[in-house]
Amino acid sequence: MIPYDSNSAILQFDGNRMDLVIEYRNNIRGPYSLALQQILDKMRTTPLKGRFVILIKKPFKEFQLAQLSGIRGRNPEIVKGVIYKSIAEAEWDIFKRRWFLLTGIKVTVEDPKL
Amino acid sequence: MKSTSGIIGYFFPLSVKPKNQTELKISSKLPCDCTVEVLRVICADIDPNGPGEKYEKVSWFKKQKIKVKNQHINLGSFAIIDPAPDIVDNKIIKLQLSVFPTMRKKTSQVIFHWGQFKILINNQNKLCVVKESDEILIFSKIKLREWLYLELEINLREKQISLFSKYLSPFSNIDEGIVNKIKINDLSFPRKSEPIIFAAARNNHSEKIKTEFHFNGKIDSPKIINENKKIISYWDFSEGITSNKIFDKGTQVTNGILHNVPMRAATGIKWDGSCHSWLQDKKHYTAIHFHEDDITDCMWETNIILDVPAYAKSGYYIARLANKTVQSDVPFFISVDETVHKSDILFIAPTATYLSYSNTHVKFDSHNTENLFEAPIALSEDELYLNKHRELGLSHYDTHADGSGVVYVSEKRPILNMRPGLYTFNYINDTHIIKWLELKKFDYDLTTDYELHNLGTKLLKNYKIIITASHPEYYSTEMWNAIYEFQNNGGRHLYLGGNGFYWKIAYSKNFPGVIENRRGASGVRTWEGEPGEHHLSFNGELGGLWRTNGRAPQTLVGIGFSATYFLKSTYFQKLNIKETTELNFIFEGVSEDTFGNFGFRGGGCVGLEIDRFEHNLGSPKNTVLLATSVGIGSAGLLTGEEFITTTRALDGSQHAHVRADMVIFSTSSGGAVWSTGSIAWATSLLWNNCENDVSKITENVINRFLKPEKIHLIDTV
Repeated sequence: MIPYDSNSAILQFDGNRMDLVIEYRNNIRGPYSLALQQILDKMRTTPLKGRFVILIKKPFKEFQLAQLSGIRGRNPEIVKGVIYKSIAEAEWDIFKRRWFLLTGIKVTVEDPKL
Repeated sequence: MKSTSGIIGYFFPLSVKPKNQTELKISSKLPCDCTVEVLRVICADIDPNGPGEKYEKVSWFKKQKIKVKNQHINLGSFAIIDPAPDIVDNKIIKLQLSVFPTMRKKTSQVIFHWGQFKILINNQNKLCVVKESDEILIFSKIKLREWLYLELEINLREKQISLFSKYLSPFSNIDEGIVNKIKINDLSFPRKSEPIIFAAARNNHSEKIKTEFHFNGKIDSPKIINENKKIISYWDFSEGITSNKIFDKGTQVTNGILHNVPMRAATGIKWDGSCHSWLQDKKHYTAIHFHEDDITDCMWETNIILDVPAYAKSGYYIARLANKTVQSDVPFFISVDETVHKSDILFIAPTATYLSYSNTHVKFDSHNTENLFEAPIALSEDELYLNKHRELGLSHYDTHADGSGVVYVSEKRPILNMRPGLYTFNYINDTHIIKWLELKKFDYDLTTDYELHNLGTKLLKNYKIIITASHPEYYSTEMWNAIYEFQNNGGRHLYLGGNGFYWKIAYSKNFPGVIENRRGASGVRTWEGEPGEHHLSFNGELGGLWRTNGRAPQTLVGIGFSATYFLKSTYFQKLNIKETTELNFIFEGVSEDTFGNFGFRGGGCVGLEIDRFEHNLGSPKNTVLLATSVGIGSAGLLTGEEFITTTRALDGSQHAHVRADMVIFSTSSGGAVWSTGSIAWATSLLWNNCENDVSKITENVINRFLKPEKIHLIDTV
């Protein structure tokens, strides 16, 4: 039996590729170019501890950013003050946060009209 | 907004027939009142932009108010021998057993408990002998996943306790073993009236057993012998593997009972890879794997006994529990009485699939979940509750706390993702079909996987048509055979989903309400079964995929699982069937060459999980390919069993097998099977108030299948 390796995602990418950020912003549900797909794969297989998730505060109306504890049975920790009105808004914000965390470069492109 | 988890409950049995009873068991952390109302579920999808949730009040149950208290769950498996063997005539006794620890913890794990004595792994993960509450012998830290032989001697003559321990692996660096001893003046044997517990400590003496400090790992061949090496007790775990009993081959025959179904048919100290089935050679399967989070029966007291009248309509039902702060639904199913069926159509609610997914924790525990679903994970109140309340048990997709896979799941516990709410996969998606059948005024009966398993063709033979739902993924041999026979006897089958008939499961008369699934070495799965442990303990059959059992889904329904496709959904393109005039009824009223570019899951009728046809895997030779998916692209991911060598070209933009196929075939007796190839088919039926091509095509097929004239398709290959 092989448990999942939390550190299996080893891709490095160029944080200056704002063209890929724009591609995601314009088409959040894909399909994506190969370069963007690989970045999303990396983002989605980061370690469970600290991984961003969306808490449903009011179904279909209000959502909240949180991070998985990575500890069995312990609920995610809320990122204070980050509330969304839609899943799409949350997904875009999580993408931007991950981009910065993985590359150190802030996303500078305009937010989508959601 | 009301809480959905403030009061929770379950019905047992989950599937009940008219003129029978089912019992509702409810618990609330804080004592409270709530009303109980029984509703028939027509559509459980609560999305305001969805197809519209709908329930129907029942005349036969009067809404009532009840008091609810907190009910305890005794989580974790263990064995109990009560009464214990009588050893008072001896001066020296030895307990011998082997253990295979699978987890280190910051709390104790008790391997053996008898009266004042325990063998345990302490909170520093050291092996210990405990008398009363004192650690009297302490060894080094345990190694994980290695067999360790133990021999505890209680010697009244010498007033001494000793423990011998030795790792059985030939690679162990402590191959001689270690003995620790201690002199104790006031030494006495445990009494017969004090039960022996394996894999936990008992913490009460009332009738309802409470246990604590459960052991995670395997135990093999415990024996009690006297100073003349005469066996007093020998619990041979390879006996009675299909039962919840452990059998004592010693002189006193003190048999024991297993609680919460620890995993049997587990490889033991003698397993050497030469045998892979406990039916082939039992001596390889002398172990039981216990887990601190096994649960198969909450054993709650009953709050309401529901008498289902003879006239009750078969269907999806809930008891809605409500007060000022809570609204929580408890599901059950009324299955048609096979002796008084009323309709030509039978809908089979895939309750085995619902159980397999019940209370899944993969969003918290499984590394690959976000990658599979291709979007950040959203978590509901129910899911957060389940994460914290592990006592409600796990799904077949989860791993136990020790990392081993979950093979048994039970209906005798609250299940929070099989009811109206936000977890749409399976249960809620299937109610789209129910609402569609009602809106289209098709007269239908409903049954469950449980009844299909038990009644087989006795149930199906009454019907012209069966409908299997959006995701009938888990099938026992009995269920599979019943459908196969039905089709071959002239029955017509609409398979309205994808990834169906995929995993082989077993039910057991010894464990009502429980199903077993072993993950083999293939298939899309969140854990992999251990070598040697792929055979089901309930019946000895090889578990895993039906495909690796020699019955790919294609042999039953013409298509079989090809890919996951969760990012979004797409549509179908008709294929050229103009010459086959016999099949023109299918697309009657559907003028465009493409159809299904709409739906409530991802915006199309091809999505979530999809199936393809393949003669090489057993699609019948007269199978006609009616339509195939268009434009899946890189978001479609080929299932593992579809490729053999490593390659990069595995997604839908590169691999032709990443597709959904719609097919039809006939059987020689006039039976026919129409398969849609996609889970999202079911969730497109209600689009635009049923004014759509997916609805039209499904209606065309049902109307034709209701007619007695044979459908005769000739072999094409």
